[in-house]
Amino acid sequence: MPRTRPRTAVVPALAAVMLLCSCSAGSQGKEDEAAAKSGQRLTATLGTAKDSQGPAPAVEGARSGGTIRIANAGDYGHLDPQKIYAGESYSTSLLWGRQLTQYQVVDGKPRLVGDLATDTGQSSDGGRTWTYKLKDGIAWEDGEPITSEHVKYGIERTFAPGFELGPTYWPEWLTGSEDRTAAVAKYAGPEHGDLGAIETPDAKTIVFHFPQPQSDVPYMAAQSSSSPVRKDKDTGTGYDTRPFATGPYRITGHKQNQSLTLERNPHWKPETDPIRHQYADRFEFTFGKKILNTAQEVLNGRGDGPGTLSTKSEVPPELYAEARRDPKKKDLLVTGSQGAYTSDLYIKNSRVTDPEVRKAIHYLFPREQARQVLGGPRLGDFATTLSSPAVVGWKKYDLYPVAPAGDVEKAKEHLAKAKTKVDTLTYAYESDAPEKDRLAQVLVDAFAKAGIKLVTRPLEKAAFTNEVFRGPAPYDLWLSTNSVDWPTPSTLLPDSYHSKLDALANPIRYANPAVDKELERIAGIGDAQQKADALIALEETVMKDVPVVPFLYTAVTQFRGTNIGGAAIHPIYGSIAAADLYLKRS
Amino acid sequence: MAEEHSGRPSRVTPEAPSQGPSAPVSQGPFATACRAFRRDRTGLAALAAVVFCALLAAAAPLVTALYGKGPTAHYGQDTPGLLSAEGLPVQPNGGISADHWFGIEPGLGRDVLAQLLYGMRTSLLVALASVAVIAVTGIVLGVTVGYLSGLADRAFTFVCNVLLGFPTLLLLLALSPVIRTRFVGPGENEPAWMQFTSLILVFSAFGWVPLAMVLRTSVRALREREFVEAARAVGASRRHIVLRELLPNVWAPVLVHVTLAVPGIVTAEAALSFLGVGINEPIPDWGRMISRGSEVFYDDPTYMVFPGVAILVFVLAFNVLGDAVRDALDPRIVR
Repeated sequence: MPRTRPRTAVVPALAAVMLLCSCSAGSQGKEDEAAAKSGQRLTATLGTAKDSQGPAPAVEGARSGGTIRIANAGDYGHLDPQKIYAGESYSTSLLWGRQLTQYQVVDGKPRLVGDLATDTGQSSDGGRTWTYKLKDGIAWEDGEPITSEHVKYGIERTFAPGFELGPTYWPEWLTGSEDRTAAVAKYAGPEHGDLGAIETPDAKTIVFHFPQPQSDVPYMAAQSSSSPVRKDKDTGTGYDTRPFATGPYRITGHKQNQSLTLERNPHWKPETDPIRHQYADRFEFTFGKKILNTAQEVLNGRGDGPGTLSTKSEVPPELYAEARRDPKKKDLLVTGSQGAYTSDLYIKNSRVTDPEVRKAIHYLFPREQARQVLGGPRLGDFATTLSSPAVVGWKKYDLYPVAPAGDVEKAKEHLAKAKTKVDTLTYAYESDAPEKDRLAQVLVDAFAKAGIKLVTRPLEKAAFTNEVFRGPAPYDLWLSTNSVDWPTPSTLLPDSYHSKLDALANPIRYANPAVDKELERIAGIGDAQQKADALIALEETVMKDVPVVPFLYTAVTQFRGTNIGGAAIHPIYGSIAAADLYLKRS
Repeated sequence: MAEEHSGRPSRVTPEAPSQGPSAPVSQGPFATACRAFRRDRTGLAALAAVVFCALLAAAAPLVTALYGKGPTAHYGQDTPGLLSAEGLPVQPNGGISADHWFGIEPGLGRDVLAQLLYGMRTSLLVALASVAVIAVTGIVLGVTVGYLSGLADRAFTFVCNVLLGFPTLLLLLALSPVIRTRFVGPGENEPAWMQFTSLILVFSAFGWVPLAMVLRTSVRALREREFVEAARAVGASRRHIVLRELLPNVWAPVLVHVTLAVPGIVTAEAALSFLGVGINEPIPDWGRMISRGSEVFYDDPTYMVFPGVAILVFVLAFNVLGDAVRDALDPRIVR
């Protein structure tokens, strides 16, 4: 390496730097008034049959026509509706896919309504039977009507091999199994005949029979895996790159990792759809361009910038402060709460067994400094609860109030009360970004104030989950961003805080027999409201043990071109809702 | 040697050899070189800059104690009003103030001056230690192989070619996480000495090759000279010939190579830290400072200036010094 003589290269580069940086304006410490208020309640309500009728409430000022360009850094891993399992993919796939139910967003407030179905579902038999009626006039992109058989076939596919990546709720609920493996032992997918648990008495009616009461079927019915699939159009793995459309747009071209083209679906009828719009003529997705370049084009209005946006990426941190200063660019920022996501400091309860030590960690954790070093208030509001304000029944509570900068004195008090003396803790983090190194230094600094030596372990991103989540992993603390599968508390505590769950589901190894017992009781409740209330009440019991330290209700800041109208963060899916977009001039 | 000369204008005045006080015949080559060096003003200025840097680096704890700031304290985070909620300095020009002469680091809010001083220690420590290993290995191997020739020479050339063909940067990028996971227990931080040692080892493992090859060529030429033949004829041992006859004649290229290797290693180390495989947090490092500067370049360009200028001055001083040393030692110009 010393062979290369650096002097010729270094000099001009640094001279350029010196020219550029003669002065830089200070950041006058203004309060970030535009930051998303992610700490406010944003709960989905259940709509009536009347709400479920189309057409969708018009977006104010919307116009028809033109081509909207969506420039994302990477292609979608999956387009097969039964394989999609991520917020942004859910949101964007609404352009071409329809489900039994879906979230209608009016004035930023989500409401669950019937999509293909006439309402959000009728339950009987204490929540063991759910009946859906399909609307009239719903059709595939070739004009053929959508029938209950198609919905049934779609859900049956979730049992088949190759669909392990998608959500596992349908297989588990329909067979009454603990996990997907047990479920597919009972029924192995549509290749192996008919699933008795789903009845289709006629082309418009679909009836689910569950061995145990299920209260959250309306929400599960909104997930992408509740989309209909036509057997004659099911191309197996090919369906993952080009699904057959039921929504306002159909896929006319998909070059993987390059582009995806959507054109209007002539057989989609707006009067059947209470959620989606069909304003633009076309959507053109491009993949592979660096988001920094895209964002610069869009914010400066260069080239295709005015008609472009990104649904996947946030404003790159390099451009954020400048975009906030310039009123024209600020106008192009789209901020909102990132669905039901929360960010928490996880504590391995099997290693830090003493609740007093965990309480000390709660008081030590420097929320303010940590958020500052990661990018500031745009990341979201500080959290005090385990569940996000987007969850049904959410109640604000703050069991151990603490200043955002932490409270060393309180922490020391709790450390003194602890039965076991703790002087070293290990903090693991993904070493893929330098700000995570800096966050580690913030924590080292904070813990040192209470006499705790914090060992920091950067781990490869790919190995992180495996290294940290496995049972005997030697790490005490790590930061984790999580979401529930749908905005009710049903998938939060039961799926992460029962002691019998495996290390992947319950990585902190939380175990409280009283909580286990209560969770088992709640599992038997068939009424959605009662179940949500019981779970929210249990949440405080869990949080008294300080199994994790709530950090943020995460928010996102995305960007749109000047010519793009109707851009808003979807309150459930946490990214710009593509189905509401239009072009101001075309 | 020859390749190092290409394209560089001769700086020593042409009249230098004739105008100097007429040298007594008994004066050694080093005394002559020293005199030539003393006449080179640029060289002296570079030497002064290098000595100044070395002193600052050695006395960094003392200087920062007098200045009243530590290199790892998060001033911006602990003192309200220094950093905005997004972590950018509130004061203009990167937060330069009477308290923080060079401003504060965006994000963590560390003092830039203290970071720079300690960063220089990091750079110098890595460079000097690597150069020491490079010099010893290069001299031993180059001189020995140059004298032995034959099979040893063939093996040496092959090894050199392999090492020159090695993708050093990729090796380091791939190796550093492996070192971290294999040799560091999960319950401990990666020790600072391990980061330094692995860097020094890699720089020396690849850095001795050019020096050894230059020495091998010079020694091969010297081997056939009359004084070596004469020593051989009077029955001097191999050891005597290598140590007493050959080695004193290759000091000049060694000295030049070593002075010019230091800035190369400093920039290489900075580049590695920039890429995240050099020296890690919280040890101050120039490469990481520049990397941070590039992240916040749009919002706080001032932060980039200090590590950038520091590397520029440091490397420039060493390069100019290296040139001056070479000019002073080059027999074709001086004698």
